[in-house]
Amino acid sequence: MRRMDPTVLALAALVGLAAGIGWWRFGGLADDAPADSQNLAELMGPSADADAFARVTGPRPLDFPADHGAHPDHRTEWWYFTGNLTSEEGRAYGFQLTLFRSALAPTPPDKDSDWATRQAWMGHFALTDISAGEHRASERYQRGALGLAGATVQPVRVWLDDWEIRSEGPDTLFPLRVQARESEAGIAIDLRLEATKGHVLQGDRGYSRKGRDPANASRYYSYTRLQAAGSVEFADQSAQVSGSAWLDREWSTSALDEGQQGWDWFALQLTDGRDLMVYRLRREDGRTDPNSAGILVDAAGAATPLAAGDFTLTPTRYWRSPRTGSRYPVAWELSVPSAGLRLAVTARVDAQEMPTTVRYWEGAVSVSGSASGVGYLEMTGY
Amino acid sequence: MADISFEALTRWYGDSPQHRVLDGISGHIRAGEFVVVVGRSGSGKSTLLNLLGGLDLPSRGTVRIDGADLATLSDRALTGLRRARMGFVFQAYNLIPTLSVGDNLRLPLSLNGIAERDQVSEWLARVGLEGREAAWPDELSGGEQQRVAIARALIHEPEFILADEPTGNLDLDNAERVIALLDGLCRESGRTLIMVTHAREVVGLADQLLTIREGRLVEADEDVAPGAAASADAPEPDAPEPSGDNTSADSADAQTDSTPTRPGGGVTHPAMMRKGSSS
Amino acid sequence: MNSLLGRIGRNDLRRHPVQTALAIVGVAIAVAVVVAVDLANHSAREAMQVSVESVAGRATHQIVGGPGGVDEQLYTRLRTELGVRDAAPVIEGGVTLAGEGGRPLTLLGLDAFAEGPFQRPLGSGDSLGDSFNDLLLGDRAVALGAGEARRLGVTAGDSLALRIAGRAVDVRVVAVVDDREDRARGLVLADIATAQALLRQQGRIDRIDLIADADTAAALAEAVAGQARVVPAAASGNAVLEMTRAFQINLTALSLLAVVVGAFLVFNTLSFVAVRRREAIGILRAMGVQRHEILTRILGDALLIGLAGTLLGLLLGFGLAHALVGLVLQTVTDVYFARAAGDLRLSALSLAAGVLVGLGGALVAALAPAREAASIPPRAALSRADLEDRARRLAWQAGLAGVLALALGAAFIVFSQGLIPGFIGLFAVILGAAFLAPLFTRFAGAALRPLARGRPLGGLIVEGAVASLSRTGVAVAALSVAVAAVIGVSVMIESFRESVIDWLQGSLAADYYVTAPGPLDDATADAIAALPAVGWVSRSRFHDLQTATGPVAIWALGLPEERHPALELRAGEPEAAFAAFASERAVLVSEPFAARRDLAPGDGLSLPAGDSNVTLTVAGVYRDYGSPTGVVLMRRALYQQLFADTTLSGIGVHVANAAPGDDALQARLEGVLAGLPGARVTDNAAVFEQSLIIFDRTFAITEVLRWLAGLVAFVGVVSALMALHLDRRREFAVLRAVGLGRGGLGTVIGGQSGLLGLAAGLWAIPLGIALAGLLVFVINRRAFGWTMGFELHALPLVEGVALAVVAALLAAVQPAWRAGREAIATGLRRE
Repeated sequence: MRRMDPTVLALAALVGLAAGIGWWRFGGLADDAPADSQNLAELMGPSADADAFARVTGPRPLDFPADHGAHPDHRTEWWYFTGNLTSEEGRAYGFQLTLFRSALAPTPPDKDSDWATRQAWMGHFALTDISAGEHRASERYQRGALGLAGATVQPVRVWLDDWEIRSEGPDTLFPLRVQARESEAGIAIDLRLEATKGHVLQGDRGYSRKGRDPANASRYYSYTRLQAAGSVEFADQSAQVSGSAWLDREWSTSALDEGQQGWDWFALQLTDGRDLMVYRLRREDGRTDPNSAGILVDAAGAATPLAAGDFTLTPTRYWRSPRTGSRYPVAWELSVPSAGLRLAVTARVDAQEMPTTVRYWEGAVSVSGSASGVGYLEMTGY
Repeated sequence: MADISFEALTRWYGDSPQHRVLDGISGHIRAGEFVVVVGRSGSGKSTLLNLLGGLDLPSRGTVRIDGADLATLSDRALTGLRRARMGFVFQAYNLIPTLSVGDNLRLPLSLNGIAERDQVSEWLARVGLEGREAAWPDELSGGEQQRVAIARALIHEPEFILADEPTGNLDLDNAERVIALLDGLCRESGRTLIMVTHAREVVGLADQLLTIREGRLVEADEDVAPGAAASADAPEPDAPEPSGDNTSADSADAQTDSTPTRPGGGVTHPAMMRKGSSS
Repeated sequence: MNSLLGRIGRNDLRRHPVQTALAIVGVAIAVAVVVAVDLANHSAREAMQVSVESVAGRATHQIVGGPGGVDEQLYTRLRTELGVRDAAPVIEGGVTLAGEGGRPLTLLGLDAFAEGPFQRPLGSGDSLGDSFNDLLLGDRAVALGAGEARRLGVTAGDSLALRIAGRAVDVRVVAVVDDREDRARGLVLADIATAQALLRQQGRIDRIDLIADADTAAALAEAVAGQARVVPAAASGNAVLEMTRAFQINLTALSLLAVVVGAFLVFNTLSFVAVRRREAIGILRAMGVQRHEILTRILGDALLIGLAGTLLGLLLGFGLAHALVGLVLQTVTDVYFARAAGDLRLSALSLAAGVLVGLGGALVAALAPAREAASIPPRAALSRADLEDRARRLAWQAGLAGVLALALGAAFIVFSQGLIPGFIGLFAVILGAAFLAPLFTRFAGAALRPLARGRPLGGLIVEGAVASLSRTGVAVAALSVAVAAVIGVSVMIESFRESVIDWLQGSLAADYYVTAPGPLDDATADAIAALPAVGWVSRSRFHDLQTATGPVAIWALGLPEERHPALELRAGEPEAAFAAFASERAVLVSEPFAARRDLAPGDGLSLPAGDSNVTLTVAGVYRDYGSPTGVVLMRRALYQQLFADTTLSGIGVHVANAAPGDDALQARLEGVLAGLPGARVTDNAAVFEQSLIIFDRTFAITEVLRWLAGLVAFVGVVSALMALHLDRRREFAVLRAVGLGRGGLGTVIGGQSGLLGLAAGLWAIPLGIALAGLLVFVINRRAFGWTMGFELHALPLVEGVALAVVAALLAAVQPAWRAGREAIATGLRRE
């Protein structure tokens, strides 16, 4: 008795057809995949058009204050400040402010616009509240045009948006006002830096070779002992601080050889007045590159260059980053026999990895052993 | 099985109470009786049937089935009563044209929630139409349609069968067959059969005869000769005597007057020799 | 049990396939129209939303300036001094594709360094990937979305020929960005430096987009005060969306008209079903089927028709929407100058609306016939005469309802202000007139009776048409509504067109118009004025002023001393108004502007100018069909005072001494303009023509809907009258038995049908005129602020009546043919 009524069948077919069309029209939308972090070393390595840029191929005398400013024909350049500070209440802080300049093309663009530029700027600002064990950092980008970011001399002024270093006098770099603020991250610094020693030239009179090819080198000078005083803000707290700071200045076109994975760079300020800087270039197979180097500056400011064989570095403890999974050595044994130094260098806070597009670890360290002091450690390529 | 009684039934239409189709009819029908209602066309017999079957409500008077006044029932209850206890056969247009013969027969069963076993084929056989279950009404002749109508009126075993001129459109042979069928089937099961008809031949079969003229019950003719019965112009049996004294002219009065006849007794007619009728 | 009763209905519907099909088709068309219009509206809204968003991104506010844009140094200040992070500079300029009929595109100059938070489809470094450098450094480097690249037929590495401010410029496509939803439609992305160089906007940008909360925005507004203003980002986009709302409401209302007729169709079909099944229902009632069971059966049949019609209508509607969406978007682009280009987007709401209309409409329309059917007494005790009596009474009842509806509708219109109440009133009037249609038919019949005296055929025709009012009443009502809609919209469009022509003729006062894609200057205007045969020139500047409530179109007009603007003032005394315009801080505003802001002569209008707001007096309101957004007209000297902008957008050249069409003059004008790329001289006849073309294009969609409503009506009347005729086969058989020949019968049937069609058509005339009047004086006024004249020509009226009569005659063809062929006996047997 219950035969399928043809009318009902026809209706069912129509409904099915309509549903099918509806289904087909609504496609799913896939999410975009998130971008990967990049390896700093990859950025620094050789690239195809490296020849078109100006390259550092040998020592050349530096000319100040001009060389405090930018070298637009070189591909990469930075002004690199690190320091350890203590507040009046005894809280300890570590800070890092780096302004990077990157030339995207060998020649300036030919456009009738003040926005036109080939210079891209990047800024990294990090502040570590050592007492609280917390590290905050921020990254910015800006084009080098229209006064948005750039470097000028007389007075020396290097800035990106409202992050700025500015010398107080027209001819000398120091005293230097360093200001940076990142409201979203809740960190800010406003410091006045004074030089207690003159600058030192790294490598061979400022020609710092990093690889077998003589053109894989940078121009490199540093101010290894600066006095810092000013204020910091971290979260809701602000404090008047003082301490020591270090400025690294470097510019190059391609600094690393093929086969170089990254580096570990130590800038240590010892209580006996000496400053020690060593960097170890690591090869992909784990061996130390013979182009690794260092410098020891005595209390008076006299500098002794160190070669790769003059120091040994041994990692003693590792920390794994929850964010990227990289394993960084956060405690080291550093010995410089010729200086009678046998040091244990330990990160003052383990988690000081930079949460930036370019992946690296940069943080305040403390020194103990045959000498004591503070410093900064930078590790890339992990 | 219930009795039907009716009292002072009066019916008029619209705003014209002066034109009464029925005027003060009373009577009583016992359960199981075969009642025949005769009269001229327009005399009001169909109206009486409609009233008795709950198809219409009187303007005045009452119809009681088992003592219950039909007019007091709600339309719902009245409809329910018809559904379960009555079966109707009309002169024409009995069947639902958009249902097959079989489905037409099924209708009373499904309306009453009676499980279908084989009543459909059984009843089709009884009315001589085996195998015509799948046919459509417009494929049947008039007589065949009437026979299906009869089966449909009986399939759900109602107490009352009301037939309004069931042979009106049929030829003589078919008419005979249909009437015999009705009578026989009803007697079999003791159902009340109320039939309105023109045909005087049927009168002889009836347990009770109601004659209606101009809306009122009148005495039936005593002698109903074959052939003369069809005439609607038979002289009235109670013509008033032209006299001046107080002889009551009774023809105009409503009277309860039913002429009882016995089954098989009274008037017979060769045409009544039917086949397959039960005694 | 239900299945058996249900089977009766379904078999019955199947036995009358033509009528059932026609009812289904009627429902389908109504549903299709509703769904199509709704989908088209929805798609247009989405497309405009996307256009707005793809340019604005996540920006919440914008820093804008005056006609010169924003000084780019302000951005540097924001960044370096104020430390604002979520800010992005934007340069936006219109360019066209080189070649015939150059398609307009938008050149969008962004700074990828700043774009991160703004999530524009092409903006950020993420989406550009490796091409980031190319875009920044390359000469004339641009990027396109994948959809646009496909449309232009280019890939990464190709060059693209554009025209920028009249100059031919070849740009290089360095990147094609994945753009799934085509949000970057019509955009050409460049680095902001490239855009600035190409558009020759050195030192200036168009705006700075911000993401900021209210407090920050307020603080920034203070900080930039004097140089620029802070406005909400959505202001301009929202303003356009708001204005197209009125247009879209109009479309929806038109589509609902189709629904009204569709509902009538279902009602009509089911009335016939009830009539057709009278005897069967009588038997069923006699057999003891309850009233409510009959009712639900009829409703069930209605649901079946509704369901089939709805499904068919949804499919049809989807297809129709594809055609309509293009028309709607074209109109929006033409009229509102919004960059709205898109495809059809599905909306569940639109489809739900269609289902509601189809199923709901069918059920609602079926209620009355279902109740009618349920009330049929057992064994159909009523005679046909009683039925007709009932119908007559119903006609009077309906007439009363009709008068009430008319009164209600009039009240709604008179006592309300808004657009939607206006439409409610309109529908009430339509329904009221529809209810009165059956009565009108009776009177028409009564009027015609004397004419038919002595002519037997005539008598048959008239009586036949009028006597069976129970069936014909609804058909006539439905047909008259639809024909009235056709007439009404025609008359409205005609009136509008005449008004536009009048306006154009009045306002196109100059003989030639000079325009250029780039700015013109006074020197050019002076050079033109100095030409012999030139009497004088008018100097115009058009500028969209960005305000917190959206853009305000300003027209600055410079005229010689003794002349005043060629305008028709609708409010304000002309002498005084023009005098104020010429000397005071007063402006004239167009009707749509005045309507939107509720301004009258004497009111003040506050506009941002420079670093503060100025209040100008409204001296008068003038008629202007050119822009539904409204225009503020001020004299050029005042404009220059307020906005320090000396450029011109257009120059009107008035020839001296009514010299006859002087080709030499045109050539000389072109000579003056030789140095200006893309500058054009157009004579006012060409402008006139072009304007009308745009007008006609704008109303294309209204035309389409008009004819769709007509189609529903056509189907409806054919269905209704066919059912009518088929129902009377016995009657016709009797006529033929009595001696009427085939030809005579055909005349009778055709005549009855035609008479009904004529009645509907004639009744539609006053209704159509009333409709047109409402559309012109109420709806258009409330929707757009326009006033217009009312032009009544004979053609639309004749068209409407012809539509009705033709449909009615067509409906008679098949039944007449059938009645003629059928054997008389067969016909007689039917009852």
